Parts: sequence; C-alpha cells; structure tokens
Amino acid sequence: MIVRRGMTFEYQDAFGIWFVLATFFLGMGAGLFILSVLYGFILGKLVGLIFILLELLFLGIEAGHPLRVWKAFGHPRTSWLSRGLIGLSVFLILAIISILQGYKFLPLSDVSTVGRSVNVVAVIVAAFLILYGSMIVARYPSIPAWHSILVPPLFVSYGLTSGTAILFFLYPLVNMNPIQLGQTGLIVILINLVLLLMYWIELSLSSTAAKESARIVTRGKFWPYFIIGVVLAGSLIPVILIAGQIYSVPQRPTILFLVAGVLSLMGSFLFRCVLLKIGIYEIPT
Amino acid sequence: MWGAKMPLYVMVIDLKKCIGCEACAVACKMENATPPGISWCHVLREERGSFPHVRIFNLPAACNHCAEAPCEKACPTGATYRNRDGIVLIESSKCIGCRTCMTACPYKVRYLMKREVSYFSPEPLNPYEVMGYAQHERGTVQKCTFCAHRLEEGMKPACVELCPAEARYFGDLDDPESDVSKMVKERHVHQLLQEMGTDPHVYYLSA
Repeated sequence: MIVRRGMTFEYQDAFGIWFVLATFFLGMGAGLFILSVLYGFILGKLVGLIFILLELLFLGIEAGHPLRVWKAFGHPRTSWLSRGLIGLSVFLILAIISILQGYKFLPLSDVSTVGRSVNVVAVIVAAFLILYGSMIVARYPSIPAWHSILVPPLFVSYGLTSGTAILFFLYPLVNMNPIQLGQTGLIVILINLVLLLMYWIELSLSSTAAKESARIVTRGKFWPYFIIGVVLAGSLIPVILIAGQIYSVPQRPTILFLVAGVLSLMGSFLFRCVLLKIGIYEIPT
Repeated sequence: MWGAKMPLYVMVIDLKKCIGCEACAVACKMENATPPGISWCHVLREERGSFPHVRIFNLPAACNHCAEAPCEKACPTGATYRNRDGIVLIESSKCIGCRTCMTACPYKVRYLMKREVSYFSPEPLNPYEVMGYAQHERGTVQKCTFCAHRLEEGMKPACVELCPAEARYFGDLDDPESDVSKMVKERHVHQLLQEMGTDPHVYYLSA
C-alpha cells in the first residue's frame, strides 16, 4: 500500500500469472486464426484453435471453482466473462467447420458463399474474443490504468502481433509469401508501438493512480520489463529484424523472422505482466 | 408480511469520532472468522501535516453495499446480488472464484478465500478456526455482509456494536425517524468515490 496526501494506492491482487497466460494465449490464438483465415492457412487455424483452448484451461486454473464455470454463461447482459464464454462456444463450432472445410470433410468448400460466410463470422468472433479478454480488465473504472480506451486496441494489436509471430515459425511449412508476411508483421508491430506510446501518454496525463502507473513503468521498479522487455526487445528490435529480412537480405534463411517472432511473443507476454503490475486502485482518504 | 416495506440499511461513520483503534476490524474478525490476510473491515491511515502539526487521519473502510454495485454487474454467475434490504451479498455456491468482481470493485474490499490458514501456523487449525472457517467456502470471493446474520436476529453489525468511540451508526435510511436517516439528511455527509456512480450505502461524516 502506498499512501500519498489525500490518496491511498493499493495494488491489485486479484489476477495473477494464470490470467496473464490466459489472455496471452487467447490473443495469440485469435490473432493467428484471423491471419490464417486471411492467408488460407489451415494449420494456422488449427494451432490458433488449440491456443484458444489453452486459454480456457488457464482460465479454469485461475478460477477458484473451475467445475462451476458452466454457471458463468448466464449473465451476458452485464458480464464480459459471460459474453466471452458464449463467444468462445460459438467460436469453437465455427473454427472447427472452418478447419474441416480445408480438409474437404464437409460438403461446403471455403470458396462457396456459405463457406466464406463461416470464415467471415469466425474472424469476427475471434476478434470479439480478443476484445472480451481486454474488457474484463478495461470495463470498470476501479483501476484507472486499466480503464483506458486504448487497452482493447492494444490487446487486439498484440493478438495480431503474436499471431504473426507464430506464422513466422510456421510459414516455411506452407507456400506463403515471406515478404507479404514480413510486411504484415511490420505493420502490426508499428501500430502496436504507436498505441503503446499513446497509452503511456494517456496514463501520464490522467488521474493520480494512472500517473503512478505511468511512473512505475518508466522510472519505478518495473521499468526494465517495460522499457527493455516490451518496447525495446518486444517491438523495436523485431521491427529492425523484420525490415532487415524483407528489405535487405530476402534470400537469407528465416532466422531473422524466427528471432523477431520469439522477441515479439516475449514482448506480448511481458506487456500483459506489466499491465497487471500497474493495476493500482485509488482510494481517496 | 405481504407488501411490508423492506428497510434500506446504510451505515454512517463519524470520522471526527473515529480514533483508528481498529476495534471494528477485530470485531469483524471475531464475528466472521476471516483468515489471516483477509479483513472485511479495516482502517486506512494517512499522516497529514508536518512537524509539529501532524495528525493521523483514519478512514474505516469495508464493503460500501453500493446501490449500483459494479461487482454485481461484473459477476458472470449472479452469485453477487443485492437482497431486499439493499445489502450486497455473495451466494458462495454460485461463485466460481473468477475474481472479476474483485477488479470491478473500486474500494478493493473483496477477497478470495484461497485456503484455510491458521493464525498459529504451522500449528493446525484450532477448534475455533475450524468452526469459523466452515462458513467460508474455499475458492470463492468473500466480503462484508453488514453482518446480515446478526440483522436477522435483530442485532446490529459487530463493528457497530463494538466501536468504543461510537463512531458508527447503522439503520434504515427509509425510516425518517432513524439516526442514519436524520444524519444523511441534516448533516454534511460524503460517500467514497461518488464520481464512479456506485451510490455507496456507507456515508462518512467529515472529519
């Protein structure tokens, strides 16, 4: 607990590492699924689905009573967790249909109108899933650093960045254009960086607790995780590596993409860790 | 009785009277047998002024039983609900321990019952702890209930009963003759984090 004049700050202790892992895998899985549908990459869709199932596992571990989770479907009118679980159920069905299309097990092909519609709806639901993960933290104003309009876009951009990072590992297995993939990676990481900067500026200019959150990520005890882990290693170095791969040495093996992918994933994970650590309540006294 | 008007329970805390002794916190622990690390009722302290004009400002804090409780909205199972007396309660058998209510509460007064720990650890739980912890289900979220079980028996919440400075008042806001109703109407009261629109049912008389 930190006490300042007229204000008591308390760090959140509700969510921990399992929540970080859950949102990390949810974002990565949904981002990978969206990109795989756009690229027509069946293996990517399957891996994305597996990551999203892992998110369910981590949420279950985080919950005090995982066997009662079925009760959480009942309040979608007000609860984002309910909405998310309903979205997850719909997504599982659509994702399985979308994956089976590629293996020709189903009569509807992915070039038919119905098949395309399934893919489009699956992409929309996948984007909703990333949004739900972010809204669990961003919905309520109790923690000013989380209650930001930029948190949901950051989760979406980190989801897409992580999805691209996984594609960096998988694309040698399929006939995918590495230049196009690299350009996608560059765009999403750059958007991410801009959003991060805007988020930090917003925190610095907001309420007292949000300012404290902004302070601890740049000058406080978490600065190495944010500055070195999230910004430098997680965003700036991958940008340089990807740009180097696609604009300077396109004939080289994929090692630069692999390193950029690992660093991006680390940045995405650390961002969520830092976000939890800067969750500060502001209780006026 | 059918159609009988239900009370709207609120608490008023006089900050001028509060001496920060934490008897309320002890009373709450005795009554509700909360384990180490969990205090449904506690006192926030702040040092104000500079030497030699320094004083300690005490702010007793607990669940505010908000009329527009964000924890109730965040709860995905309906485990958190407001009863007919306006008290926000948790039905443990419905709680999945997802903790979304904990982050939604702006007052940080909800706690996850992780495990039953003895106050005399590594000693095993003593008979009092075994009996007390039986009312808390592991893996669920807990918080102040305004001692709803005592209210049913016509008693006041334990923190109100045991406050040696008589800084706490409890009663029906809808009863124009009640102390709390008069205080809220006639004296300068404030609520914590009013700007969040939660409409807390704990009022403070300014220090």
